[in-house]
Amino acid sequence: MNRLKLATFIFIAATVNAVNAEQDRVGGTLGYGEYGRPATIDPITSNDMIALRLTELIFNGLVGINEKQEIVPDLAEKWEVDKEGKNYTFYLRKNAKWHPKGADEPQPFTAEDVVFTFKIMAHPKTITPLKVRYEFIDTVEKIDNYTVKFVLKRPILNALAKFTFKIIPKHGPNNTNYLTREDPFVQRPIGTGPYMLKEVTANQEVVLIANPNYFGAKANIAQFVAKPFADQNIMMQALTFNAIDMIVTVNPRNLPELQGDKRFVLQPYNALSYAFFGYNVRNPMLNDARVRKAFTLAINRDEMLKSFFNGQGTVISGPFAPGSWAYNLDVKPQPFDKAKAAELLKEAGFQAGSDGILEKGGKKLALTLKVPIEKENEAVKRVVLAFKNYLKSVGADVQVSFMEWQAWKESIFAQHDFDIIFASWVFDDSADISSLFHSAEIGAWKNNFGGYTSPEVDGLIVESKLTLDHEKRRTIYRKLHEVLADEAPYTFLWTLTNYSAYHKKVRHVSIHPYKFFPYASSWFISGDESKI
Amino acid sequence: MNKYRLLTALVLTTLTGVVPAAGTDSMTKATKSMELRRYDEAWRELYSNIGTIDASARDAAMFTLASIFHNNAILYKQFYLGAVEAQTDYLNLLLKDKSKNKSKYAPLAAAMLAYEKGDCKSALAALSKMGGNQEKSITSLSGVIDTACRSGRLIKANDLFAKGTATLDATLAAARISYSNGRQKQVVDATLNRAAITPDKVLKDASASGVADYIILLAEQGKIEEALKFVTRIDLSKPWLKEESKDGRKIYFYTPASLSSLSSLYSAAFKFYVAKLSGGGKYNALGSYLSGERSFLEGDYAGAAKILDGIVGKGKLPPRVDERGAVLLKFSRLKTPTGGDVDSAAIELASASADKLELLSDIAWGCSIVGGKCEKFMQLASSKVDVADSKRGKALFSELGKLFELTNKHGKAIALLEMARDKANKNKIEYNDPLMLTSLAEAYRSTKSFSEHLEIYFEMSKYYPAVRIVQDAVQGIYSVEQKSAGDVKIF
Repeated sequence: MNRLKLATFIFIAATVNAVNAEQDRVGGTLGYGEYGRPATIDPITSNDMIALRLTELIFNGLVGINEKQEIVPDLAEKWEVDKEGKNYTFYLRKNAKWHPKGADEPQPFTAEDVVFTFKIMAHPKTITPLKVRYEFIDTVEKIDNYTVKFVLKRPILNALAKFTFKIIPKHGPNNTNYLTREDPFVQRPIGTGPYMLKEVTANQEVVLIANPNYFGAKANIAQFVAKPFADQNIMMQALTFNAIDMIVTVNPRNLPELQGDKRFVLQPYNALSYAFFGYNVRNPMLNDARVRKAFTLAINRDEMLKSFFNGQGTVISGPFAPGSWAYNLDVKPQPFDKAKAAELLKEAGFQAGSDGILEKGGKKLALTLKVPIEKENEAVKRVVLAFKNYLKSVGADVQVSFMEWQAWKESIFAQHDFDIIFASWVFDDSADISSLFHSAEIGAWKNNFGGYTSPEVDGLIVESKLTLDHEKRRTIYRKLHEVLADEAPYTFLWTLTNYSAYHKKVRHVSIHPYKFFPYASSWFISGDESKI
Repeated sequence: MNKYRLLTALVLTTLTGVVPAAGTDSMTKATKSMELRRYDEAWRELYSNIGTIDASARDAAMFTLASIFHNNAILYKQFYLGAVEAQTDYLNLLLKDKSKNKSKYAPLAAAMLAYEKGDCKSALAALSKMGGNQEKSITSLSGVIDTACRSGRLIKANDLFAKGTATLDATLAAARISYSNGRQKQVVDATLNRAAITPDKVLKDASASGVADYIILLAEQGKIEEALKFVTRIDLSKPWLKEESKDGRKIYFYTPASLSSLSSLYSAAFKFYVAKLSGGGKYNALGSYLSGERSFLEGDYAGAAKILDGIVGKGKLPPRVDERGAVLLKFSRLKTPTGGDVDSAAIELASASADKLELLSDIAWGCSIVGGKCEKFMQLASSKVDVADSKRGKALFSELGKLFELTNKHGKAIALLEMARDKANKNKIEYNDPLMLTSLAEAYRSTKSFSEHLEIYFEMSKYYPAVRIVQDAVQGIYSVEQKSAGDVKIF
């Protein structure tokens, strides 16, 4: 064989091998466990993490953020920003198509869809947590089919990253003016993303299949199935018995067991999250900051974390996670101090009744604590029962009520029918707490569910949004942390260790700390576990 | 960075065998704190009760104290290196600001940092960016740095003091620079005496920068106990300067010199307490070993070789310590004038017993200290990682991970260091070697995983408040680098 032939042979062999290797990566199903099921699967009305993860697979934004934390093209191929930082022009890709709606042919993605998404999001009747986040956008205009221009009300910090919001199709919702949770689109959405919704099964499993028309690199894994679990122990068993391949968040108690099991990989991802008891200040008794502070002082958070989560987390002092740039390191968590708690309650006008329960103006300090049933795992049960007991020891009577996830959300976010809730917030790395504590965010399906108002907090939040100075914003956030720690609209509890677990046959896994799945297209399932 | 390695496990194993049952409560508490890697807590406990320790336990106490200081010197050096990296990036961000609202103190902080790193060119460049209308304390300090940089090592102490007598901070900075140049110590001592500088005065009037200089001066003057006592009185999380603009913006500046001063002090304290061991006692060989290791860490390879030559392989040390000593000795000899190729030496050491994971981890550590590339060795050691038992292999994962981090292979470093990490207690120093954690934090910072970095330091700060300098800088960088839509979801 002469040299040229040899080289050609080697080249062809290498190419064939590479193609085979690529083909080896395609196919398979990845089943992953979630604590519960999403109420809606669209990016506009949903407000929980389960839905967020799904929308990450189904939809695209104008821009994306890559693994190096750089802003990269997504539905927009390129963009221009004027000198003033107020005009953003996006040039859209021409090869993106929407997932087929029913039996229809897939339709092309155009500038109309971008304009539509923004308008429906901003409509007063659309119930969405996004509205406040995008109030800085003044107008959006279609320049041509593949060019769209956003005009901002004012320049803002890191504006480009805000355009990661997901675009929905104009031909998606039935009502093209505003989107409600009743629209069929929120249950059967279509997007442009690497995966499309196949079905939601009778068991509430959400089945996604790879999009053959995806404009980007085609996804390797053929099918993703989100499986809901109400009990963490059962989910853990499902993983160890190979009924699922991945758990998004491992119960910290299960970490030692998984760490010792060579079949699984434990991958840390630092979601900026924390648990809290949130108070409904519409209840006049809870409208007094002294009462809320007393509750914080009355519970031993260190002990609860140690006893119920094996100490696998960190007690926090305010509205940011310790891994956030906004956390005020000078504000220390209030120590457990029952005597001081009792003193504060007395100062707030409470006196012990004949049954030992505190009273004020003839009304007992009797409160309801609502907990979503998906959180009814052993540790959570212990936390809420401990909370009840701690508060009993200072004279407050707390009745705990476990509720089904959807009913709980309805009760908390729509009806505001509760006194205290136990829940967690998860943030992307902006640490933006405006939707949680600004008074404009009080209302149905808005995040300030407790109705907390403070002119000082409102002012600081607005100021933080107006500044273009990073250090000024840091100063404001430190102040916000200090004020909210003192005002205690929540009893801020802790942030827990976050690990995802997956079977070693799932390869090339890279996880976004907040969105989780943006890089899932390049994951693949290996048939050969021996090379792990 | 990440050149160092704590000897906790090794020393603790040793101590378990040799600490007498007659140990006092204080000894027990200190040993417990040391076991939990809370070295600051450990030395403070033992140091403040050293007078109450029974004569029969005196040597054990001195050795324990020396061991704690040895570990703390290593740890603070690591903190310092991390702080320098983070501060450099953070100050660069502040210096980029050309607006009328730009930071007033950032140029001086950058100059001090550059000077600390031995980079006078950058220090002078930073000083040239200082605006007018600065306070006397700022101009005095900048005057000292400017003079020191322009005049080089031959600067006379009096010339520095001429710039620096205006404020206590500047006086202390001038004294420290003169001392570090090894010149005119008598002049410095006389000037300090005239200025009647006392610990109380420094605590009252000096900033964190002055405090750092004072610590090092005391250590240089051999006043180790006075310096240690002084350290127990200072707030290590206190910023050096606070800048507040008219619109309410506050920027805190910290100085890495605090960390390097403490590392130097703890190193001096180690030597001080090792010297107190009674001759011929059973702690002497171990004390000598640690002295050899300290010399090795400080780059005195000839000194290390001389010490280790006298004890390694002579049946004087516990087998595991002896084995590690042999690695150090080999590397120490390499770095002497008759030395040779580091990678070949590492391979040679490994080939003797390549399946001993502890030995491989010692070699990896040795490679990182002498700054060798050790590429062949890294390949060899990496091949052991896949088959290593997750518990037994932890030291190897950790050392190899640190070595990868040193060579800027952050992805590999993260993968290995994560293997060394206790997942159930991922940030807790009680379960994880703090040097491993800080190396991991550094790797995460390099890959812009800032929240992972910050979580590690958040936990670390509970026992080492001096790391606030790193936390504050990384928070500052993260606030600029963060790219997000401002999303928050209920879970």
